[in-house]
Amino acid sequence: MSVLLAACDNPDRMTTRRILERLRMDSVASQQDLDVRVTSSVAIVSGRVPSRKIEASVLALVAGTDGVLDVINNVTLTDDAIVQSVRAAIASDPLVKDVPVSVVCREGEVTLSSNQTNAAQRDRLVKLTDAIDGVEHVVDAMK
Amino acid sequence: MRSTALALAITCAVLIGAGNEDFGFDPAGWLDPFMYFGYFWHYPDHPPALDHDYKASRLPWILPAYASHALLDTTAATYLLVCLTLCAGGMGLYVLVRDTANDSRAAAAVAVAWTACTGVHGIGGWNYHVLASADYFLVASALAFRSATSSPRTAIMSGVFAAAAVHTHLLFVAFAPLLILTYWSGMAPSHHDWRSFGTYIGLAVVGAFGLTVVLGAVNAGTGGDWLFFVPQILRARHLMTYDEWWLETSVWLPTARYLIIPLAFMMAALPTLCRAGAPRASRVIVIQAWAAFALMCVAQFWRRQATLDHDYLAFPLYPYAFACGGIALSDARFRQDTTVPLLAAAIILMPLLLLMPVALPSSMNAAAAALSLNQPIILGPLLFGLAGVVVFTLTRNGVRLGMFAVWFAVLNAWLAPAPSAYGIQTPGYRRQMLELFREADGLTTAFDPRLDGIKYWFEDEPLPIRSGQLSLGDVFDSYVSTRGWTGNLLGQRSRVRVEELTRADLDAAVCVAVLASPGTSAQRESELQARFDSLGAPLEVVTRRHLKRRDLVFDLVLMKRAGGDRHGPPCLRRPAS
Repeated sequence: MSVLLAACDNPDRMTTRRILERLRMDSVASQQDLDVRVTSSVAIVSGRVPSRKIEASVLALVAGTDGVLDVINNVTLTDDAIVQSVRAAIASDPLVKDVPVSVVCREGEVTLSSNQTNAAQRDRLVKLTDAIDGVEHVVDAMK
Repeated sequence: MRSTALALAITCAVLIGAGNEDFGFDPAGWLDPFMYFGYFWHYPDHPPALDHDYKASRLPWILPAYASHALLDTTAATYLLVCLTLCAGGMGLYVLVRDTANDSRAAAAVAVAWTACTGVHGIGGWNYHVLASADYFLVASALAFRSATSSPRTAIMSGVFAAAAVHTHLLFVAFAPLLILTYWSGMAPSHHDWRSFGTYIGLAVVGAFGLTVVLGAVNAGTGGDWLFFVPQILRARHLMTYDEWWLETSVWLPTARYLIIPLAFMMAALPTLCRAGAPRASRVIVIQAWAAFALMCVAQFWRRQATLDHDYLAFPLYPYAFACGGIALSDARFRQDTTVPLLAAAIILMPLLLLMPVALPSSMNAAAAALSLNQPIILGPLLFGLAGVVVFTLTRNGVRLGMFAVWFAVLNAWLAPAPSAYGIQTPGYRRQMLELFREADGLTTAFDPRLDGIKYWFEDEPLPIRSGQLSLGDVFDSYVSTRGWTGNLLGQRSRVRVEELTRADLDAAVCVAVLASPGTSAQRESELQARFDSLGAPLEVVTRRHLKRRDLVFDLVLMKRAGGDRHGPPCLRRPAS
């Protein structure tokens, strides 16, 4: 019987419920697409958020929940946020700011497309993009 | 059949309920049974530390156990597997003996004996593959016998279970010809023909092939290889050229207590060969048992391959030997009696609950010491076993069953390999240890999902518990076995001293986990940090955990090199860019 009771009264499951409730009550965190799993009091948070500021506030909420001893951060930036950051970086660089380039991001992989670039510009665009927070891989489809 | 199933279930329930927390759980220091927990908990992830080992081939054991642990809490899953493995073999044995000897009373008595046998309990470890393979073989044998008079589906299912036995323990491939003999013994003498033989073999092969394809598909579908069985075959090929486990006869024979019950059963069944009126199928079972033993003797004594020199290696003999026990007890004139299995269960369980497993060996040792006898451990039960065989062979009817139950009850308690696992309210620690392991597994898997980033470091130290003193080094060895053991030990060695660790040892790790008692963990952590500081690789703490269940307690400190990416699991081994 004690074994069955222990199985029903799983502390990690209760901690997960507490975290989800906390995130639901927060006006910003409740708007995000997040997944939380707790194992042996380690909370693993996954999902995509539009900024690092929101990521930090989500992680702080999770870390401050009763029953959480460690937090593993698998949160990444949304594709829209990454595209905006890439465009901003390009716009502020004198060598490439006037180059017409299309920026597409899918789950952290950014594809740069253009047919009006030279070798130096392509090299700079790839380097600029690669340095952006949240970019996992850059695909160079420029000519 | 219903009363036998009930008796087997009651036997399991009594052993689990009345015994201590050791019953059904493996002891500290054992490695292989704990390695199976790596598969039970992480099979679909195919962690590299476990996936390349030949044990990963044993899918008919790994998959049901994985399902149990995925659906249930670790403790509940363990008890479920204990009950299933004990009862499945008992039921297979019951059907085999009932059908071949035409005596359901004898079949029920020997099925209860199987489920209550201390040599069957946790053979090679409760989570080891051997008992499951014997269960599959017993069911395959029962179905093979029935195939001769049943639908083609029975023949297919006998092939399925035979393949399950072979995939779980490759040694059973050597017994495949014996299964065909079982089918032959089930045929009416007037129906012996090659066509029936061919049909049976064809259907059984279809079943065996079907199961193999299904297992291969499951393995490939989860990211493993289609040819999941190859590592086990390669391992067997290696052992056939040089078997490092083989022992000289003078080393193992004087302590081979695990052979007493099977050989006693096989000797007791020998008169069946010349008993008038004995069913032909009974005689075939006796011949099969001795043929299986002969095969194992050839391997052991001539080919120098370990088959009889360890209890878990000799265990494939048990299915036929216990069937012989049923044959020896059988008398076709008697009909089903529902009280027999329940009475047999009560008699066989009594000595275990009266703590005879502990009392008998110690009193025997004392007597042997007083008489200046050598090898008292095997001599006493051996003489008792042989005397019992003579007595219950000479008796008849209900007296024989009663004699058998009492004789087996005492011998069974006497031969218990793990006396501390039986008895009422005796202290244990193994259940708590497994629960701690599961908690540590969840923790370290969160930080290291592929189970190859954390390398564990510990030294040995004693931990006082209710039943005496426990070696924490043994506890940690068992835990790291759930991660493949040596491959995930810092420095690739157990209990390596801190001054022996090198920079290369650290380079092989993404994180280092220090395992220690609460009293020494701070000191061990400092020692390790100082060591790697001196080697130019400072470490920083990722997390510290205090893990405790009743009086079993240890600390786990997770460290990694200072700096680095803080996103994602900190100990995940990332592919080199």
